[in-house]
Amino acid sequence: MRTFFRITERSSGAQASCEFPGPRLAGDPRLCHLVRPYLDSSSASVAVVGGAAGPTGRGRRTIVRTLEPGSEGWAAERLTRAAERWDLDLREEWM
Amino acid sequence: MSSDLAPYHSPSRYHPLRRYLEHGLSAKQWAEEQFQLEISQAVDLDSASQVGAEQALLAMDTLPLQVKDILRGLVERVHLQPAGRFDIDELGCWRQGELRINCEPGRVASMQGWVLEGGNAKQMLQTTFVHESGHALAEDPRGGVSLRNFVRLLAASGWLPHPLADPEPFRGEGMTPQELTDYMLRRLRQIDPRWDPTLPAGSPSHPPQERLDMDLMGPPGFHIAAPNEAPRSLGLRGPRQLSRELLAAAARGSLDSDLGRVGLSGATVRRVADRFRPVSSYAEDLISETPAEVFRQLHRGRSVWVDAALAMEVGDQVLIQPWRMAELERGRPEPAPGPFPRARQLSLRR
Repeated sequence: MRTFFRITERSSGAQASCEFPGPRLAGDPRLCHLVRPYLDSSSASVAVVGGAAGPTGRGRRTIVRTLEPGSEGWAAERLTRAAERWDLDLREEWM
Repeated sequence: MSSDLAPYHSPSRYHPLRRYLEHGLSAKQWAEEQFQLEISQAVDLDSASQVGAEQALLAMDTLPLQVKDILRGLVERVHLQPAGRFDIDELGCWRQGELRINCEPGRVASMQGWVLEGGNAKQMLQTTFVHESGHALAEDPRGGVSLRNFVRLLAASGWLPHPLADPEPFRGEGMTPQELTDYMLRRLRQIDPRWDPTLPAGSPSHPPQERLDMDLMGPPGFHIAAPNEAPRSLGLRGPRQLSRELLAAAARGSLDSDLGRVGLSGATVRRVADRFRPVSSYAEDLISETPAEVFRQLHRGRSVWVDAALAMEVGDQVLIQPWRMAELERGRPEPAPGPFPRARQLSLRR
């Protein structure tokens, strides 16, 4: 399965895409320039807080996960950060 | 919409922590008085954990107002505990009015090698409070979220059964979120009539809480035999998982013929499956995580994921709007209670 992240700048409508496996950025050069630093694989140990709980009697939990650099989950997290910084919209598609 | 739907809304304000500290009072006293709960610190906290416990209390000071209200209105006790009391990846836990907070987030296994500066630690702790408050809001029997609204959030987040197991939601161009909600609730009541859409999701009149995940997500590979037959589970899947399964079946070449046997086309199924998405990938891990994650994202700001717009919109209606309405109806909030310096209390007693 290949994953595409479609990236749109809200103010200008400029578009780019980020494909996995990869990541391979393509599209509007200015937008790619803004996003590329967030996909630098030296951003290795990205830890993310999220919800994940077992339906156990212990209750509902908040956990931390480390995302493997280059993985799809890692890319989604890094692109989220780029989108928050540069006011972008993201859409994920699978092929 | 009435403020009756927001029993957790507090009509009085909160004193900032610094006011207590200026009077020489402790952060623990501030938290207990302002949130009307008990702060329990583990007796075996070492010096690092003591610092973490202090940070956890500081993190409470700048929580969103609604989260403060949930702490005041729904949570009875906050346990500040060292990392050793938690699973290796766990930051916090909520259960029946009690919050357990790992006050050493830097010792969580996944965080090893990731430098936790003061700001990051505070952000981690705040995120834990917000996410767990989302659980409390969605599932506490005294909260304002009915099972119907809980299921609405799932429908808006793209949870669907596999089309071969249950083709009904994919007929035509697919059910609307409202139709899907009604359908899911009807199927849920077929599994167990005790699931009452009008009661809070965590009501004691419902089956045990852990059954909610099971009855909605079900064991893998389960197939519903016929629309009128009682299912064992709704077999719901998050959009990512469903897409993976559909793409794998398409790659094997069997999808279109299998879907044709239940009167569906691959293109329609893909369109229906791709309409709505959850606010984050974590909201796909378990059914019960979806409302808590929506709540966390709403307090974080907008979602950058355009497909999550409906989940955010329904989340705002279900999780935030009743509280906002209560705020409007009740008018100007009363002054915050306290602080009450010990010296003043003594003089009053005389």
